Amino acid sequence: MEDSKIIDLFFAREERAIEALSIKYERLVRQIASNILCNKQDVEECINDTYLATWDTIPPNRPGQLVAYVCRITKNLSITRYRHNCAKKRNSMYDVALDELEECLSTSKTPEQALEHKELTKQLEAYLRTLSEQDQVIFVRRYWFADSNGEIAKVVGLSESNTSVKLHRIRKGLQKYLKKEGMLE
Amino acid sequence: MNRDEIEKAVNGIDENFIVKAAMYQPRKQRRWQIPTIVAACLCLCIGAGMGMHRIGVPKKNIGVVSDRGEQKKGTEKPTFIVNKGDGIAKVDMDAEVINYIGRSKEELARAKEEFQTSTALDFEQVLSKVPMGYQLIEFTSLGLPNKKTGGYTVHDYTLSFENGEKRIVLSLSSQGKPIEDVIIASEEEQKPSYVHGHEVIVYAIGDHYYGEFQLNGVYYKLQTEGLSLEAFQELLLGQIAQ
Repeated sequence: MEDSKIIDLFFAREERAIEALSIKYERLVRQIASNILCNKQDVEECINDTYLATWDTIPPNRPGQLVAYVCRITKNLSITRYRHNCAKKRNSMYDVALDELEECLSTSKTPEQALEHKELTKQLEAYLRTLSEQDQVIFVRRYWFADSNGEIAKVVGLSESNTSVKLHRIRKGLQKYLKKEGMLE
Repeated sequence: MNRDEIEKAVNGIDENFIVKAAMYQPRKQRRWQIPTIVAACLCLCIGAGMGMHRIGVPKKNIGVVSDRGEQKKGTEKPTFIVNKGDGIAKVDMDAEVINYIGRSKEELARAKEEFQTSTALDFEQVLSKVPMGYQLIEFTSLGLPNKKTGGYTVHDYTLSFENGEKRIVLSLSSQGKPIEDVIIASEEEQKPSYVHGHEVIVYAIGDHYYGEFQLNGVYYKLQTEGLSLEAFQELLLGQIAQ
């Protein structure tokens, strides 16, 4: 079913909307939650919470891109639950991905000089636009979806080692780009 | 830059990047089904000597395999001349191949509509010409780079069917011969077959048969694997049936 029709069902308050949403996007939602959360029960609850939150927010919201809207809800709910339940373990793929990026973006600048996240978002987007579509997908699947290298390799049709090398280059490229823009020392 | 800021920054990226990553389908290079080192090497050697390579379009043959009488254009009884190819080799090409099987119903329906618009053929009718027992396993479009848009423009559609070890692949295009990333070598001039008055170039490599023809402004390429020559001929007759 097309996204616009699913949204119409939400607006009509028809429960079929949730069924249609789950048929179309549950695999993606489950993947995001599984990448962040530590156990299956949390994942299942997060998926259900995603549907509930979507039901509660559409209407009044009418998302332009339903897939992005649902993914964001899942990710935010997963992070909240992760911090509450298992932050001490710091062993999820989400943390591993963040560690990589943190290492790449470490800087000697003082906190006062540090970038605000909104400015960094702008720079990230500008950098992503300089990349090929495949490299954009690799970056976003790794650092937004927190996919493993193996999962990314399947998505983009490359070998796992090739994906790792590409990720390394993308991170180095980001570092170089931010330095050139005066955002990193 | 602390971890929280990085996390917030990444989470805040434009949703178009998220959609692209969520829906991404890799571009694939079309690959042929019978790549053998010997065949490919032989093909390249012959090709280098003759300087005759052309992607996906055999120019010459190396002999007539079947001898089923003189071919006459327009004769009621089909005449089949099977040209023999020695082998094929792959070539790299920039193309976007999208498989619609396994995608959402809406996407599949849209692709069928585009197929019908492009070829003026009814999708279901095309399927009905494939013998019973075969399952459609791939429905792909092949796009070629479009310099104006920077993207890819669909050139042809391919339907792949399987029945156990047997395989039928039908490529159609209204814009020219379907594109393949293979080179087929042969030495002599190809001899055409005639089916219901239509010229068909038939050739064989091992147990693979190929038929190229044009019908009502649409270019067809029919390929089979694991089928007998008789089964291939029957299939060809069915495709060209009036």
